[in-house]
Amino acid sequence: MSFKIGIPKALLYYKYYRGWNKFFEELGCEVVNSDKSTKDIVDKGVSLSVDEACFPVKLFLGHVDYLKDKVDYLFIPRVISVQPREYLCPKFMGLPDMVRHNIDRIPPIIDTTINMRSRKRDLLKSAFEVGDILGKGYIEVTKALFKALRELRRYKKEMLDKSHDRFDYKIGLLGHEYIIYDPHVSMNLIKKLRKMGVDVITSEMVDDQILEEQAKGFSKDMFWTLSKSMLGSAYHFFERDDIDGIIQLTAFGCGPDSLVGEMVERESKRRRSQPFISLNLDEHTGEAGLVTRLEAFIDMIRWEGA
Amino acid sequence: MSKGYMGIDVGSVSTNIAIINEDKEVLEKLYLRTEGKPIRAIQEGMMRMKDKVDIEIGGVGATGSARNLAGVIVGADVVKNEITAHAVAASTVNPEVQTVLEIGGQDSKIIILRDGVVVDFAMNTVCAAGTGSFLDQQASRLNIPIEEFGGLALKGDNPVRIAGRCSVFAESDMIHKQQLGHNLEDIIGGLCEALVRNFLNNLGKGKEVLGPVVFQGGVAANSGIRAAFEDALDLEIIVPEYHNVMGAIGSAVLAQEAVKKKGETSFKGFDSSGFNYHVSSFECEKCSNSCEVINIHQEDRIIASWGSKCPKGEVVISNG
Repeated sequence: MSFKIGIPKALLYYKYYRGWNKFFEELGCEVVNSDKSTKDIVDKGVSLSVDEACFPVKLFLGHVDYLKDKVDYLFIPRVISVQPREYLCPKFMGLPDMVRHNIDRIPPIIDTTINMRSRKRDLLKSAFEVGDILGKGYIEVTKALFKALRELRRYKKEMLDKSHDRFDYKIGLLGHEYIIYDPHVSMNLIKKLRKMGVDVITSEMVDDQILEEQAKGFSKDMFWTLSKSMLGSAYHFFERDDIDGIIQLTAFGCGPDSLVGEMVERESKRRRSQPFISLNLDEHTGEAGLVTRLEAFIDMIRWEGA
Repeated sequence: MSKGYMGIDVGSVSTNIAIINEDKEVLEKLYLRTEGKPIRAIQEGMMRMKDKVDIEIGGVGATGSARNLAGVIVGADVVKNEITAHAVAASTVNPEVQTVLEIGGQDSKIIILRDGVVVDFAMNTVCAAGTGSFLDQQASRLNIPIEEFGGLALKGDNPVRIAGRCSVFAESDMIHKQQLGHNLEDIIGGLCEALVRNFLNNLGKGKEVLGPVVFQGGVAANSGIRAAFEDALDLEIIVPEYHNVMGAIGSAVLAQEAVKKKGETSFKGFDSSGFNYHVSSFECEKCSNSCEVINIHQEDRIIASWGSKCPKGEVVISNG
């Protein structure tokens, strides 16, 4: 029989959805993604989660709640590491538990541990575990995993090819994928910028090799994968002459962001390369405040270019 | 008839209007309290301006937190955020300016300029500690007219230490010091120092504050705060003559530039103040975002609508 697998449209979804969706489809499952974030989902998530969680985690719970009655399984992996000798924020490790203890009457959770801290190929082990739950054989799972990984590479390639020449200005946008690509959380920032005639480059549009190299410029190894790519893209943006300004979007209550954000801001001051602004978002953020700062920032860039 | 350009700055606490001539000199200015009714404040301001001046208005600009509202009511040629407007005004008044400090009713800003170009800025976040409305509130609690606040602060010989990070804490600190018997001048002096410390820690963090420093906004009238800034920065602080309407002046300068490009103004005339404006709002139910959509009516016609996140809730505006 074909299972309905629910994948919440939040957090790592924005980084891996093409691969995740492909993996389950290849295994003959029907994938159900939650709806895009709305005020209702935000409100629900905020009311379900503990106060101390960061805004994106609260939002995740809202998406789980949206999906819980629509699917046979929820896919919420316990992601510890996606790169050798690196980690993700501890909140990703506890995510299945946070969901289980904060939301009532939920379908079974596929909470397979993904830990590639020692070897990348340990991912295959995690895939087999998922296969066991769904009653799929090793060969089938291995095939599905390879197709999913190919899909992710294709996605990265598509992002790399995204260049726009019809804009007058270019902005480097820093921030977690789940903030900048969620239009509700980022208040349509990318669309707003394009409307102002400004193109947006994100770390996804930069070659991984470059990010890796650039992050080495920092005095210590950054062991958070997501923060490392943020740092790497920041250093890369600093050096690019075609980037007129850098905007950093951070989530209120994000531990790694509070450190990395500060580091990027200081480095930008030190280098005096481009105008830089950091915008902090949470569930209370009013659009007016964001728009005022954004407009002034773009004015500043135009003024400088004039 | 000579030509002038008008700027309107509708903020949370005050609504300011300024008219400048071709040489960017201020001809007329007006400072009104918004009192929570921006439309009425704009209309009243326009009516008063009409009686004051006898020139042709060549362009109009709007700024401030109600800039979009002001823009549709008067027919503005340019609607710009208040950060840009303040920077433009400061560099018009003093082309050499390198730092602008602005403290208004609910907002405070620091703008860093180099060679006449903005290179960095910061604005206070959700917290309004240390802005004009807090000073207003404390002045009325202590029963001192706000105009005398600064003068009293200067008389304090030993300003007390007050926590300025949060206005709630600041207030309880002030009450505590007052109950210990410290005199009023020292407490007020301490408050001014605390607010300045808070401003420089929050907004000035990591910014290179160089002179000339221009201090503007309603709070610039407060000589106590000005002195505290001079003390903390060890720089001379310039308070421009029209410090409380700088946003409006900047917006007028921007209007002058905009009209140069556009050719003619969209100004509806001073008589637009005579129309009956009202606002209607509804919660759009077309999706679960439940946007609060606001429609601005001029007589029976909807002239503007905002608040919707998507086209579903947008109202078609007839420009007839």
